[in-house]
Amino acid sequence: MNFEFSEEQNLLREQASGFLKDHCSTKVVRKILDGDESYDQELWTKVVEMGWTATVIPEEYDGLGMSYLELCVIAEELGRSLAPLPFSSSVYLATEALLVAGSKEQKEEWLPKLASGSIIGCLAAGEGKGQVTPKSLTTSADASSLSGSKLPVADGDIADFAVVFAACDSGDGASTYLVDLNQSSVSRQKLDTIDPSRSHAKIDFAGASAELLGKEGEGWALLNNIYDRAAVLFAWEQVGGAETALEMAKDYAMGRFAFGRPIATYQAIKHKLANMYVKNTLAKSNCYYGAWALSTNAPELPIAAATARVGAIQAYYFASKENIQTHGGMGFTWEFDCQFPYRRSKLLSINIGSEPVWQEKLIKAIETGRAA
Amino acid sequence: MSNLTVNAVKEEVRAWLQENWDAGLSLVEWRNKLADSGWGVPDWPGQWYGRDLPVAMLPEIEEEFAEVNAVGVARSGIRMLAAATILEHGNDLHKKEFLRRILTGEDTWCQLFSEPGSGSDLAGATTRADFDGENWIVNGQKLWTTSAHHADYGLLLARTDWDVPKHQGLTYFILDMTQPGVDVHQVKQMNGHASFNQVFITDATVAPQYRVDEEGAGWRVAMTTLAHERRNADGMNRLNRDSGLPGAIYEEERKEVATVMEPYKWYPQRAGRVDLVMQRAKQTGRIENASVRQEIAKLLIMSKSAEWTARRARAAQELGMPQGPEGSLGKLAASNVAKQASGVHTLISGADALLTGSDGAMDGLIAEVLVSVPAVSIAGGTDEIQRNIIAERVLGMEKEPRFDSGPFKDVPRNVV
Amino acid sequence: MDFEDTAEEAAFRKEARDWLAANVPTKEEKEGLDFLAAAKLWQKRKYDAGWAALRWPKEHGGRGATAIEAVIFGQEESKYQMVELGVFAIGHGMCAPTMMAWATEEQNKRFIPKLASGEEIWCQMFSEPAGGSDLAALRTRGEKDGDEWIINGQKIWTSGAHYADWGVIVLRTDPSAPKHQGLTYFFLDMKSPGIEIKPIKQISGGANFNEIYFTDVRVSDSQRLGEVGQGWQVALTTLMNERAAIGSGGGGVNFKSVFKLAQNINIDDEPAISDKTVRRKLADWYVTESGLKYTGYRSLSALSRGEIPGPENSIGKLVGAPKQQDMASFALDLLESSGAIWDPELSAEAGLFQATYMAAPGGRIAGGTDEIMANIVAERVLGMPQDIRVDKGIPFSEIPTANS
Ligand SMILES: Cc1cc2nc3c(=O)[nH]c(=O)nc-3n(C[C@H](O)[C@H](O)[C@H](O)COP(=O)(O)OP(=O)(O)OC[C@H]3O[C@@H](n4cnc5c(N)ncnc54)[C@H](O)[C@@H]3O)c2cc1C
Ligand SMILES: Cc1cc2nc3c(=O)[nH]c(=O)nc-3n(C[C@H](O)[C@H](O)[C@H](O)COP(=O)(O)OP(=O)(O)OC[C@H]3O[C@@H](n4cnc5c(N)ncnc54)[C@H](O)[C@@H]3O)c2cc1C
Ligand SMILES: Cc1cc2nc3c(=O)[nH]c(=O)nc-3n(C[C@H](O)[C@H](O)[C@H](O)COP(=O)(O)OP(=O)(O)OC[C@H]3O[C@@H](n4cnc5c(N)ncnc54)[C@H](O)[C@@H]3O)c2cc1C
Repeated sequence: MNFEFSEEQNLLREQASGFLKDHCSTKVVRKILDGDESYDQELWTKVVEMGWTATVIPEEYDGLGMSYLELCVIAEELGRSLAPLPFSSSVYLATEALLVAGSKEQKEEWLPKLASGSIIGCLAAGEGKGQVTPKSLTTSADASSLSGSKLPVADGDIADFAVVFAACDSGDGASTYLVDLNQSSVSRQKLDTIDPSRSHAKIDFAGASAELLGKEGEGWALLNNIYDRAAVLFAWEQVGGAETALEMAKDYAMGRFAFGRPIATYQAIKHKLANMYVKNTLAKSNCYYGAWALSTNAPELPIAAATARVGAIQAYYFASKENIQTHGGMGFTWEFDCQFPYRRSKLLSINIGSEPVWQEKLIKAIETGRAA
Repeated sequence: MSNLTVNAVKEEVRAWLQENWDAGLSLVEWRNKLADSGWGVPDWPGQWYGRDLPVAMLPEIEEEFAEVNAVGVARSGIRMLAAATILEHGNDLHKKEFLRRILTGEDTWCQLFSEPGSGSDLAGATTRADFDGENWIVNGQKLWTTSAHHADYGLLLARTDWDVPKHQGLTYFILDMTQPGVDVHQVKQMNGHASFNQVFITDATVAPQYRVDEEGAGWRVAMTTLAHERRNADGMNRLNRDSGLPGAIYEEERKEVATVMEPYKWYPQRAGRVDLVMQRAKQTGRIENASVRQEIAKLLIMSKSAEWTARRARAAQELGMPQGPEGSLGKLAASNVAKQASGVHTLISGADALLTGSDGAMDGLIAEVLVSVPAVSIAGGTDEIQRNIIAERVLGMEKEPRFDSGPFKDVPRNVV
Repeated sequence: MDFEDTAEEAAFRKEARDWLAANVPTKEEKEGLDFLAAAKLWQKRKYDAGWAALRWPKEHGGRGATAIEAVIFGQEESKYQMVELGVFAIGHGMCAPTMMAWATEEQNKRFIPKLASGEEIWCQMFSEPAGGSDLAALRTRGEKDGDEWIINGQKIWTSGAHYADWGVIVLRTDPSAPKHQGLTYFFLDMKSPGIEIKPIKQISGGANFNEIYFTDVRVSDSQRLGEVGQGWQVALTTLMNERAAIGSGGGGVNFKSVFKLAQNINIDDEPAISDKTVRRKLADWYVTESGLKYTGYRSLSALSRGEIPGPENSIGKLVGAPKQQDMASFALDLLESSGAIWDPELSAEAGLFQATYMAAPGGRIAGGTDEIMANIVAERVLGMPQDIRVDKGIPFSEIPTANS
């Protein structure tokens, strides 16, 4: 049994965490939250230089050809530092879509640029209100032109291209397209969201030129596959964030006095933090399972991904809200950092399908007999 | 109170209004008339702008005011807390100087209690007032002070004796907010609104006659202020009536209310907007989903039982029973309701709940619910404190061992 | 990262598996034996073949195996679901490690092999009516009389005392010392004169634990473990071992049983499993169970590398016990009014849900209550301060109690 990260992977973690501590303090998050910028470009440049965007891209496409375990390590640290970067869109979603479904030519065209960070990708599935399904899709495409509206698209305002899901009469009801966002028939508008440290946009396609990714009528299956893979990486980010929230709460509780004693001596606070720890630990262990399934391409991936995702959503939400509570009134001010994990937890939990969606996926996967 | 007296009073006020109500007066002119006649605050003492009438008579009198669309005295904000405190603990000088201008709305007040270092532990306040032989010199910081940026006076709780246990070393003052030593900064909350202020007090002065009640009696006086906080909330509700009537006096009144109510405009969101849940569920079709239905059911049960519990408490109070610790129960219930409501809204809206602008669910209102709800379990006494109160005062459980009962200067605390 | 055994582990697993397949007692062999006799039969067989008490040194009747080997054997053995092995849990898991740490070499030679072979069963006499969570508040007196100590008082909740041969006990030997300093630890023959054992019926209907009354019971000073007044430290050795058993199966309701029930029972004429609320709840429990499982795997990985598992292992009981209670309660709801029937013939899963529902409250208390476990996580894992204490440093006799 070796259900642990290797020594090199732990070394990478130390390096990543040290780097982010230096370059991504909460001041950096705050700068994006307060300002007009969509992400921290300086930090992005550095992250790219470290090769993080190239982690799992094979060497033949100028990537580092590392395993998903390394990517999980990076995801956890990015989550921990609440990094205001388009990493999840470009790496967990767009890069994955190309790796899973891209033709050789498409990979050759896009992957080296994604690896070098010279372009940013995003994924456009949702169309506003509620959950997207093949039935609800209104974006349509014929031959090589695509029309419709997508929102909210994470990092849609800054991405260079998007992986877009459009309705299709055949197959599973959807097809996937690669669309260059820097063309005149694409217009974008930045949206205000609950977490201004991660930008979102509405994208309108008016007969935009588009290129099929994967086979026609297999878009829905592809989306689910990408989501399963991304869910594991999102879950690691969430668990990293949840641990940050617990750390913040603990540090504050140890130093804050009320009624002549540190609030950390009140059981109401101690048990609250113990509960955070319990939820975080369980969620993290499930992330290990997800990381294993993703890195070995195990048939259990749908179950492992949903398990990791549901646990991480719940743990992060719990830790982030109880962190505010532990801080009392100060936790509710703009000046304190408690708002960051609280905002991010909700953002990450509804970005690629919310808790009920993943609970449903999990039970469905178990029903169809892929249980471990 | 017999029907006979009710009718007599109603007749009397009706006659007085007929004779005196004039929408052409300015707000202050009219309210001075109210103060002189005692019809503005009929439950106050006859000697101080009232008519010594029982509280239960007020709705009847208000009915008559509404009948002719007559405007009432200024009630919004902290001013009524100030009035109640002054009536109970103030001396004649205070009453003469402040009560009338409170009623006319000429002066605005704020409450300087909470500090960065003492919220749950309100009696741990460290803002100090030292007597220099002539005046009290005040130094310290207050936080969460609604309306401080336009207040004329502040109700100040400050420490005057550091050698006695914490509750005994506090004194209550009326602070002139317009003096140079008072520096007010807006505090922005994490939901983006800036409803409160931080007040830095540096060598501000209070003349000795503006001390309220005895030196060292501050905690008792502050309790009076806090006890009136609930009643004041009811008063604010009454002012919320939509009176889109034309006329300068109405315009003036609306402006006054709008200014004072500004900080509270997100309060419905922080309470979770239970009222919108069914509408949203139907609009989005999510009402068909079994698990959404169950969560809504759970919410409505919680919210109804909270409401009925509150009604029972109010009914008991109307029967003359003393106000019990039900307040804590209600506060805790409201907090649970708000959290459940926020969860249900997310369940209904999905990714839509993310968007804050006009693209968001209900123009971003739902997103505002999500970022405002965390305040409910903190403001006005945290959930943990309410549970302590319920355990200790309702269930009669023992208090936790205390470490802050000695001289205040020896009590461990944060230095702010 | 993988779930595979290393080559040595795989070889060990195969050896264990083969031996178990050939030696686990058959139904016929167990025919006519009661719970205790069946347990002893199997334990003795393991002992004779060198498969008992794997972690213990060979000279004490163990196998001298590594921690991971012990876990592997436990995993293989648990496939046979021999619930009767529970009778050895306290003796093997807690008493033996305490003896090995504190008893003399001679005493260990005498007692440990018989513990390993299952010939002698041990119990743990810590809890008292006045002190369970607050163990150090115990009051049962031990008074020195020459080379002996005389015991008077009462213990409670002692699992298995009615069939135990020996037991460990903590006594108050100096009431004038601060509470942790006045305790002394002994081991004791359960057949000593003056011991009276009364079974306590639990809410689950079973009677696995007992009240024990001591009237002038004599124990030799040579059976003292540790110094006089050092009983608390010795007791901590016992407590620390309480949850050493990682990765063992554990009975009761689990995801699978509730999932199966939901497939086989209807709500509004549809299988319950098609109800969204049921599905969401099941998903949550699957996630929790999976989290516990993989937390265990992480600890195993540490063991496999020869490291000590991290603090994450301390959460198992805190999460597992309430989860069982909630799942059993939910299963009873699904069964509607038939959930009330508790009859192995009539009830679904032979009454598993009812049995778990009734046993679960004990699970949340025994071996440290939920609240104590949460304190442990906050203090030992997160490093938060201890509760404010009102019983520190003052003579035990002056500490406030319910009857003072
Ligand atoms: C939106 C908002 C509006 C507000 N409006 C006002 C206002 O109008 N006027 C005003 O004066 N104040 C106001 N406040 C301040 C509010 O009353 C305090 O924030 C609150 O009482 C908590 O105090 P604190 O912030 O100092 O937290 P702390 O007291 O430092 O509490 C920190 C944490 O410790 C816990 N804790 C503290 N003591 C104990 C204990 N004995 N047992 C268990 N747990 C404990 C708390 O529950 C909390 O989780 C407002 C606050 C907010 C967020
Ligand atoms: C099935 C079963 C088997 C058992 N077997 C044995 C055995 O073999 N040998 C043995 O010696 N004992 C045994 N016990 C006893 C067990 O260890 C105790 O019951 C347990 O430690 C709790 O002690 P108590 O019952 O005195 O409860 P108390 O300690 O009185 O606890 C009552 C409540 O107060 C809470 N509480 C107490 N202190 C604190 C604190 N500091 N902070 C917060 N909350 C607190 C507890 O969590 C609990 O909810 C067994 C118990 C059970 C249920
Ligand atoms: C059923 C049960 C199971 C438990 N399981 C565990 C467990 O698995 N792991 C674990 O760490 N704890 C465990 N504990 C112990 C628990 O963490 C607490 O330490 C204990 O319950 C609290 O005892 P206390 O408050 O009386 O001692 P405390 O005052 O908390 O003592 C804390 C520490 O200080 C030392 N100490 C204090 N006074 C003395 C003294 N006079 N002489 C010598 N040493 C002293 C001891 O080493 C002790 O560890 C368990 C307790 C119970 C009741």
